[in-house]
Amino acid sequence: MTEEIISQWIVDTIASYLDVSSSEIDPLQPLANYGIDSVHALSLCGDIEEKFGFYVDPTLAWDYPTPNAIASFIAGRSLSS
Amino acid sequence: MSIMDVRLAVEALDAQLGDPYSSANACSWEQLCRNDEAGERPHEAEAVLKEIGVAKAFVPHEFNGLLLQLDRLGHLLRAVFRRDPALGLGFGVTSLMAAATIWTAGTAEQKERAAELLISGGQIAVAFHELAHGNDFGANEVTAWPSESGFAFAGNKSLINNADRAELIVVHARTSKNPVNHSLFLLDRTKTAFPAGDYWRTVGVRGCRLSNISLEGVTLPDSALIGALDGGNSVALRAFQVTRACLPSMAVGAVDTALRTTAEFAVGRRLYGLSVAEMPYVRQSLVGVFADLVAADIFSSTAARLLHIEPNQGSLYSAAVKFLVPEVLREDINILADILGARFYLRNGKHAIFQKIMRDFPALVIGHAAQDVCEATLRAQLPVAVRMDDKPNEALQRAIFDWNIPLGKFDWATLQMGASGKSALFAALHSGIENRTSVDKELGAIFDELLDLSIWLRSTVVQMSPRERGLNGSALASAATKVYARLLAASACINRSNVCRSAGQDSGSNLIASDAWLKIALCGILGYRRFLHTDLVEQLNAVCYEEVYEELLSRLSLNSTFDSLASNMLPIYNVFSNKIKI
Amino acid sequence: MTELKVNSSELQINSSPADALEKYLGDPRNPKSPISVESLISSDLEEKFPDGSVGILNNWGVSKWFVPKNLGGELVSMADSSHLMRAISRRDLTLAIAYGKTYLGSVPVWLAGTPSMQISLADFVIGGGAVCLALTERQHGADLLNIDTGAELIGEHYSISGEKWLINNASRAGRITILAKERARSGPRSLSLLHFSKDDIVGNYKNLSKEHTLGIRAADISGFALTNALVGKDALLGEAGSGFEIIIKSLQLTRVSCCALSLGAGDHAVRIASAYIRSRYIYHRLAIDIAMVRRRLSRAALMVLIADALSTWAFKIADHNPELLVTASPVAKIMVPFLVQRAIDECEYVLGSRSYIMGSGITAPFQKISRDHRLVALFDGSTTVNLQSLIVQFRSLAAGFDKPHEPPEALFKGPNINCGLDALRLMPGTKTQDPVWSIYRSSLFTQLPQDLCKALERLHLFTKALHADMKNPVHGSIPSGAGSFSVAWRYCLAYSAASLVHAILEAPESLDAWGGSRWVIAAIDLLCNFHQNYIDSLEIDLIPELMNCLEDKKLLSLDRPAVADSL
Repeated sequence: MTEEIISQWIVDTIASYLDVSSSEIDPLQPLANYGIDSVHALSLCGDIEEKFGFYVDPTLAWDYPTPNAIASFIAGRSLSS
Repeated sequence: MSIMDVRLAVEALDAQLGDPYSSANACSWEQLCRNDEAGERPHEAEAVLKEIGVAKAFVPHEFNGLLLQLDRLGHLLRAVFRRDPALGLGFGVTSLMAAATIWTAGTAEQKERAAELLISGGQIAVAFHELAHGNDFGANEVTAWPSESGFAFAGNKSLINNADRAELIVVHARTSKNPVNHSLFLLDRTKTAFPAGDYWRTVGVRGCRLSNISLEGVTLPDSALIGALDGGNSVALRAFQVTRACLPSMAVGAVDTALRTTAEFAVGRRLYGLSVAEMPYVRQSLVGVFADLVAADIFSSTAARLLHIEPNQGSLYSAAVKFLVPEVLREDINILADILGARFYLRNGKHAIFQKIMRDFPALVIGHAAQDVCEATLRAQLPVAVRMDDKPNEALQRAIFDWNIPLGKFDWATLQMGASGKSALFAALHSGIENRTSVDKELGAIFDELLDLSIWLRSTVVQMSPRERGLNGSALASAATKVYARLLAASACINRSNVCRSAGQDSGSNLIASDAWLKIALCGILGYRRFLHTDLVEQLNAVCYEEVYEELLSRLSLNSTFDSLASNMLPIYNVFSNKIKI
Repeated sequence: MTELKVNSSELQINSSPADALEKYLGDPRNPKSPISVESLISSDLEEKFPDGSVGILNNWGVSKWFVPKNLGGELVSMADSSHLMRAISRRDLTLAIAYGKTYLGSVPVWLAGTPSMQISLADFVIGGGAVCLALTERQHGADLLNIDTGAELIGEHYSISGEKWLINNASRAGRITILAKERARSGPRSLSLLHFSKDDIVGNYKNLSKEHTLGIRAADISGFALTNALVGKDALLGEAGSGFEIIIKSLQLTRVSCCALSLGAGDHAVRIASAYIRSRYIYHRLAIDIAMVRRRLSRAALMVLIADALSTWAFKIADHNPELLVTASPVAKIMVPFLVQRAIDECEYVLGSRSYIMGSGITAPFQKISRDHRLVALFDGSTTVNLQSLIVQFRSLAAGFDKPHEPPEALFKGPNINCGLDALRLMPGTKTQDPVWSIYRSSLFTQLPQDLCKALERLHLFTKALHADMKNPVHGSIPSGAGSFSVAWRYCLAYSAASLVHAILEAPESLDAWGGSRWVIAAIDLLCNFHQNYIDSLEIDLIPELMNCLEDKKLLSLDRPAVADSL
């Protein structure tokens, strides 16, 4: 999966948490700007594990604030595992 | 360490605490009520705990403490909570919360310092709470910015237990402009002068001192950081899994005393020509509470064991215990109050300990990971919660439910913030039901209902939108969360019961192995205990209740605890030494 | 389908005694008000009886509503009197319980006293005197048939010996209504009720010391000991040996009056929680914007509304059809405190730490409300006692259920009455169905929205299954089995739901005042499925309506009368 696709998946997932359309989430904007809280972060953690097969800490969204950054991290993790 | 050893350790502790009925004794209910009435710390009782060295139970083995297995920790501290929840909280539990963060992420130096303080009988305060933010410590506003000499603090913490006397304080402060970026610091009062404000008056736990502390002008060196900079919430959410699992286990002790008080009254009190306890409604209510206590013990102990064995699901198991058990115990206190009648309301007299427990109990619920926080944690991760292996690992299951199998010392580094992988406990619900032999019609009906709920839960979770799971999500997600927690509790009870049937029998295991207890416990897990009128319950043979009632009476007359251990609170033999072993 | 007519309730011109008292007492949040929350909290802390507040209530003349109109008082309708008491319990339960106890002690005299005794008591109560009702004893609790206190007729006097314990107002009351056993007799006919002034006692009377309680700390919960205390033989109420019957019937009335205590507490607790969530920030937003919080508080409000509907029904029965009180009274006494306590518990979760600290600010009264209210379930007959009294009625109620119901026009059409002893019954009739079930008349279904009709059908099924179970002969065994208690709870749940439907039919505007039929459907389903933890999945949002109550200063109830409250 390319980083772009992963990033889109992140955007879609976040959009579904917030019940907005994906077009409203900018992959270059920090998720915190969209009101992603620690509870969402937990959900994301579970969904990433479901999709990509490995566990990430819920602090991911703070260490990698934007969908692009997260996608880059995931791509890197997937490669190395 | 076997169950037998744990029981002996608990009995040794109770022996050293002395006779709870004897008014001359510092750790007696009467004396502790006197302290409470005066609104004072139970100094003499604390001195006894210090003399015994109970705080060693919080300190890992490698630092000269006794902490090896987390389920043992719950059982041991339960003895203190049987005397007085305020004593338990004030003497130790908040220290445990603080220490947990240090064991999880502290430097060797910090660990040694903390261990030394605890073993010598001192306290560590845990300073997270800000009144404006309650349980949402991710929003905390106390700040610590880099300065010449390390970090400069600003802001206040509120309602911090032991802030007036704790030599060490774990402080949670914001250290980054990012919304969720805090760090933990270890404030050493011997190095940084630090007064505490007046203490708050509270409805209960009047023997605790909850004060505000101002961090204005405080500076701490870099070495005061516990764990990484900005890693504070991660540490907390890992460390507190231990306290979320263990605190309810200890809280079982408080309701044990409430049940004892009520049962003694009911047996001795005659109304309408019968002893109160002879009335079937009363009897069934007492039995229901007893069954709940054993179930709560098993559920929380199982979660604690799972932190050793399956820490990847720790975030879920610990939240589930903290979510479900306190609510069940609170309702049990209400049921007991109905039976105790007017005496539940009196602050003096033979049953005064009851109203104290009633007032103290909310403190165990509100101040740390209250129900809504736990629900949020569970809701968010429901898809992970219901993931299970088709074929459960038998050896793993054995290790979880056979409490005679030692787990070795707990490795704090294995805790993880969020849940991952598959849920052994959720899977075990199904295998536990499948493996149970000679299931009669009643138990079969209960099992069917549990399995139906599992199917409902899994399909509901699959169909649930992620938004529904969020804080602004649906009641359906709340209901699913409740069902999940109940199913975990059921799984723990069924599987523990199965093991007790096959393992060596002892006084506590006999009850757990019985169909009678299991049915009553599961009905309480499934339904609303007070109304007792699910179809299942009406079908339940009265014989079940009689069987468990006989056990209740037996424990009452032998001064044995109403939990899984059935330990003796007034041991007549003198096998104890001055050291507690875990 | 005909639409429900909705009154423009904003234009209500209220002139009820409760409205007047609300205005007189003013905003309880204002420390300068005659009865302020602040002063009540401190007297609770110090366990100091609120004499000043009692004086204020006496000045206004609240106690006139404890005395029947024909004796110079204002007691005409249980509803009016209860709403008056609710205005007090909204502010302080200790005060309401202490003050209201005088009514409890007076009821036996209104039912069974001689005219001269009644006149004398009327003057005393209107003048602000306090009465206590002395039934319970240390060894026997509520087991009245086995009490030890004896009364022996010696010539022109009764000699009373014994101890009464945990009696509200025992020390401060000027007059006593006491249950005692005449040794010469046996069984239920051995009990006699006497009423006299403490001044008239010749002999040994001793106050027992104040009991320190979990809640209503400032109240006078004490007792007294009498040793060969002589009172005139005209202190006897009714016939000798009729004490048990008089007291059981009195309790039918007094238990209904307890509803007012709970309703006030419920309003106060939910009001505080509602005000709190408006300004509380948590999880980066206002608490009022978090669905989980809204649901909890909405559940709390829902339970208070159900309690209000049930109380309203019980008041109507007391006022117009007292022969039905034998059933309505225990149901109300069981359910109203239960529902309100649950509501308070939900509010406790919402308030978090602030439910626990004794501080200042809008949440300060909460910890007191919670502690005080816990007593109401126990007060004047515990839940267990009341459930038991329903169980013995099962056979009659089940038989009556299969009979035709009275035409609806016959209900509540009689004049408001102060009933005498004969109007009250010890067993329900079997010739007609209890009118609470008259909601199942098919003619009604055309008046209600469709979704509400469907909910009504569900309730009907629940009610039918319930009455089928009530026929089981096992319920006749003594002592009653646990299964019988389960059925009794179900009876209470169904009855409460039915009373809610009655309330909606009576006042359709309350449907819209609380957001349309959804809340009634939620209430019905909640009650029918309580044992299955239906509450966990209850999707309900009453927050906008709660906020309206705060802003418009309306009481949390179906009819939402005006209150003086700045919360």
